Amino acid sequence: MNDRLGRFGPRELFAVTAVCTLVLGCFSIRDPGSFRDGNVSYFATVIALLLSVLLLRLGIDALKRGGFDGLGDRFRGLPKPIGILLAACSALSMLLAAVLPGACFLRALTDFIYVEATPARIVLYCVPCLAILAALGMETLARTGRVLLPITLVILAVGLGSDVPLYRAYRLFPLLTDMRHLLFESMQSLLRFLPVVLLLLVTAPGAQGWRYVQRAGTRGMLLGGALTVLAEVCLALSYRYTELTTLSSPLYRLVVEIDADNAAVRFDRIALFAWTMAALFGSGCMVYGASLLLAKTCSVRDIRPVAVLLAAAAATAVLLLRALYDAGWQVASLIGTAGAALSVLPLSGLLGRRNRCED
Amino acid sequence: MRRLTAILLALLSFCGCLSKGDAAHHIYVLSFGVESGDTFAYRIVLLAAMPKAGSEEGATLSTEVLAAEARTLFEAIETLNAGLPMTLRFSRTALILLSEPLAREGEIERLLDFSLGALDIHSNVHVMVAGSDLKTLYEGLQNDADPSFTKTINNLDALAAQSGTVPDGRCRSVWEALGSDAFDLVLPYIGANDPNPKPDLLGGEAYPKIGGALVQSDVLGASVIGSAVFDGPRMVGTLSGWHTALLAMVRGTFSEGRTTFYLPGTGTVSVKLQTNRRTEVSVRDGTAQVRIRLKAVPEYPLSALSRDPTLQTTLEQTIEAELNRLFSALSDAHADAMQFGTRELWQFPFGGEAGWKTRYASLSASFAVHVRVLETGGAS
Amino acid sequence: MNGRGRGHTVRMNLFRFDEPYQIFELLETEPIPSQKPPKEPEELDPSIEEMTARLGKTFCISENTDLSLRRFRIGNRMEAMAAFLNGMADADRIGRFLLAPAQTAAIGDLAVRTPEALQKAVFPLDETALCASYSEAIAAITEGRTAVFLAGEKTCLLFDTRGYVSRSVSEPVNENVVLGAHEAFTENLRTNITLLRRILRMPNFVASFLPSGGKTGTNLALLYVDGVTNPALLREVQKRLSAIDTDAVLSIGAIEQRIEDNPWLPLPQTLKSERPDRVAAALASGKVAILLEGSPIACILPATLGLLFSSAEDAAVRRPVGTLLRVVRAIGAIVSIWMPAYFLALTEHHAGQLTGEVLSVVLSSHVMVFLPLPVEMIFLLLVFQLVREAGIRVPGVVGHAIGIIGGLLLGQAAVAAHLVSTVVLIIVALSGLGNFTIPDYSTQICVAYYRVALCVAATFAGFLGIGGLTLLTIALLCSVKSFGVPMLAPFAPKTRSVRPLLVRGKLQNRAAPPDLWNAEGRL
Repeated sequence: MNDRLGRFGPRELFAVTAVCTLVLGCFSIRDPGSFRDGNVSYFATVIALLLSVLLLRLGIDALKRGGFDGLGDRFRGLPKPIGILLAACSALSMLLAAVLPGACFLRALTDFIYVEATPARIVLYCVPCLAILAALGMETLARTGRVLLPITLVILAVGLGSDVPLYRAYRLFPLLTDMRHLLFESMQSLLRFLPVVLLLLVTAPGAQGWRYVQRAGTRGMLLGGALTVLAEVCLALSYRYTELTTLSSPLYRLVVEIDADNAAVRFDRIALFAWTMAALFGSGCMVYGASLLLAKTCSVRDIRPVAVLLAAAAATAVLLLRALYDAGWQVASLIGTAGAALSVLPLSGLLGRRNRCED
Repeated sequence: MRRLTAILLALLSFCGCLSKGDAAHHIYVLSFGVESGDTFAYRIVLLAAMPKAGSEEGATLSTEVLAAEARTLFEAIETLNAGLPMTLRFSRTALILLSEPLAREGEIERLLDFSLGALDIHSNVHVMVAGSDLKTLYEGLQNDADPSFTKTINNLDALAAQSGTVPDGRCRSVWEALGSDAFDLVLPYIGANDPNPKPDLLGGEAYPKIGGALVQSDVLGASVIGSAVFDGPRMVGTLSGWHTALLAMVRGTFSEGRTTFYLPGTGTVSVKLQTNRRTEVSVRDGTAQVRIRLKAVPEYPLSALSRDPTLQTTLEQTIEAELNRLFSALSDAHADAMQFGTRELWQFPFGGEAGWKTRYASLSASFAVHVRVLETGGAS
Repeated sequence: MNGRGRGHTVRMNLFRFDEPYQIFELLETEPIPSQKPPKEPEELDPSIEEMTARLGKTFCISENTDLSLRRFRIGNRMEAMAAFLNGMADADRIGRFLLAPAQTAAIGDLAVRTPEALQKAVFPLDETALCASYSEAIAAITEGRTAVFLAGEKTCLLFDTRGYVSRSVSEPVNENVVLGAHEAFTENLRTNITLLRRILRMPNFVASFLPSGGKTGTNLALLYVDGVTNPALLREVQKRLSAIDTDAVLSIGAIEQRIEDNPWLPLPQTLKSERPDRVAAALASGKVAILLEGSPIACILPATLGLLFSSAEDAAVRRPVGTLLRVVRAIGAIVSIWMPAYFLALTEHHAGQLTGEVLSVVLSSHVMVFLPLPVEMIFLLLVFQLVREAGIRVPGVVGHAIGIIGGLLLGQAAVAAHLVSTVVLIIVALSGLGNFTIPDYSTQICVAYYRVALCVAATFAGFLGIGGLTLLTIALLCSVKSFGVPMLAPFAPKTRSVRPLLVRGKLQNRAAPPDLWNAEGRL
């Protein structure tokens, strides 16, 4: 089977995980109701991150004990309808993880940069890139991630660091007004990070050993999550929760409002496009992960047509979600949340031992 | 063949330019202002940069003042576009002006309630209140040494960052102030040079001027002359540069500036003030306590000031008195320009700022200023 | 012909169908008669006359006057014939060391007059070999060696009498350095190998001769250091070289494109060098090199992007200086690749990002130019390539004038005539200068046209276009391998041996062998 998985080392896997976690953490759609009673996003992200790392470890342990190479292998070991159902849920979850940041960036691009262009034209420019990235395979994606990670880190650091004179601590308050709100936000954040866990479990056979997956995956998620928390803290120091309720693309706006004396004052669009590249890359990884899972479960010989098809489907979904944005954030975020919840289902497939030997 | 087909299919997604616009085919609006119109609701006045083809010297960039009366900004833009050789572009707009009458009517929230992205205006745009007729003001701001208006804006930003004599009037702070009850807005107040300026919020002898001097120059037609204070969306008064600097001291954004005051026995003196310590502000039980630490460097008259033992005490008393005066005026105008509301948030971490304006009305404040006079010629 | 000219004849033939068609034409539809000669038997003929006839037929002696067939007697007893090509073989060497000793040899003392015995006792030439194959003998003659056929024997003797004229060792043309050797390869394969052996004086430095795969019989040498080069790499290279089967292989580039993993990619996956010191350094670190007769360039493989951007001088200068040079090169490459597209993206889509002063200058300089900015930029980039190509091909005397003409016509005059704007001209000039900081010529060309693609992407979609194309390029580079070694190694993937790309590594004693190409050992 031409699965384009190849072989990649722990450093490459670490880079992919970090970038994907950062993209999903910072650039997913958020329900504006999240800021109704204050901004608890940075607390919720910490809790969600720790939980997802725990789930990753549990998943790896379960697969290791069962003697499986990866999640695809496990699903193939289940009765066929159940295996296909769980694979479809995982694939859908990963696809949604590819779509949500895309919709977020599409909104920023159409609102601030390409005001005269229609969303469809912007998406059409991104489709070949997404399809090619997904079709190139995990080995290539892993190396590309290693190149992209330092660029993304530097851009993020410059963007957040340049605004330091404008941060004010009073904007953090009120703090932790409602514990139920915190719990709900934590669950929502967890659902954003779960597709990364799925991606790691699906592409594990290429990582040359479970210990590398565990080590690189944990470190990558922690780094990406830490950066997400940092970005959210900086946002909270820049905008009060009353503003965040109505502010679209807050991280981009943060970088836009750099002090005029700062040398990085015209940095905002470069930052936006660097993040867009990271998001495209993250989406490519997710599309590849979904393609791999479906191809393995349904015994498709070559993954490339599946990857191209899913990339086109993801692009269409981005446009649909963008259209729903105009109808209201709530509907879009509801779909995103419901879809991400699908990632919980496949993890149930990790329970139980290997049923039969598969080739 | 398959690869070629795939490449051709991928090229199909190249569906033309995403946004039109050769940079050379637009007129860039450097600033625009809104004031009440005679025929329609508003008069929109623009300061636009237009390239002019030269003969021997080469092409140059010059600024022109354009004006149109319309019901909305977008209507004015469309009307002007129809008559100009190139379309207007707002991606270089650095300054938005609102006339004082409109600001006093509370129109700022409504007038700024449009998507800056729709006109590709950078969110970093400055907002100021214009105390004069906009056309006269823009004609006064035109300067051959700075056709792109960048240096002027950069200079104002530097003043805001350093001395606080010009407040930080970026669009972002406008939205934050208007959207929150925690503090009130203070914007730069700009106007054409007027030999008979109007009194400021404190009345009396002070008048709205940066640095305190009265400009009598034909070259310098317009300048920032103070700051405009708001109560919510409504402008309630103006402050001079010195009082704006005092606000900055309380807010903690002051780093270096000058003050001129009367020293008994010496006369009018000028002293440079510096600070590198945070202002301590606490708001508890209906009282705001402010402690400011400053360093003073005598400047004029140097020899007299260097020998005067009363400089420190007089300076402290003068600044404290001015701060008290300023706070009373702001309190009477219901304008929390000193941002005590943001400090109050610290005291109630589990509560909101609801009702702050009511509590502010009964807030009292005490100011303690500590000045250390330095040796002439340098900071410690 | 009746003197009325060709046109008259054509017109006459068009309207006269009974006239024979007299004008020569080579139509594709006409069958080409097969001209392949019958295959000669491999065995040599013991009769000198038969061998003379066979050789004459093979070399078309009636037309081909280069072939010399010299009959002589060894020791006045044994009939023999020497076959060689005039011009390829050194006649003086043949006369003094082959014919003269043969004619005066006292072979009567020899118990057996076999070719082996004669080889040892009669001929003082150093490189001799026995040959029983006709095709091998032909190949030797075409190389410049002399084949001596003995009457009654089915084995001939081959002597190394090569003495054709070739260019002497000169300075490199395309890889100039300040510090470092100033010798370059020539078109003579033997000379080139000698240049390498002078540097790598080791018994395990192997120069293995292989057929180039073309019918022209051009020789090819595969160079490696036994015990250092990974045997798997060697086997793979040999396998790919042996798979070449074509008519003519006349340049090293033809070999390179036939053995690369991705010949469709504009970026080369091997490094071509004309410097023996650079090739020797590559061989010493475990790489493989290929030399071709008639080509003064060696092909080093495997190659990575870092290698394509490194210069022969890097190791010769001090570490801080070497690092600075690499940084300058990197900046030059970045400016060359992205500056034109970045400028286009800013002016076309993101004018708000330009500072006021820059925008004033751009607007002022472009106001009278009728071409849109993207067209102007791409036009100038292509004209730059035009001038560069013209400068290479124009004869030396006129070549210097091209630079002046190019500068005058395309510079000041074009600006004065409002064909181009000064800002765009400066950007293209800077970009071109940055291009020349890239040491490898093939990479320079690739980059020169890649930046045009970036300009097109920037015109269509601004920073999104640049970002998307850059991301795709990075991904493609990550997917490309050069003989099993990823192009972006050692950065992506990270390898054990730390060979920094930007910072010039420390020259350590007994450093570990680099594991990028998994060398077997070290020298």
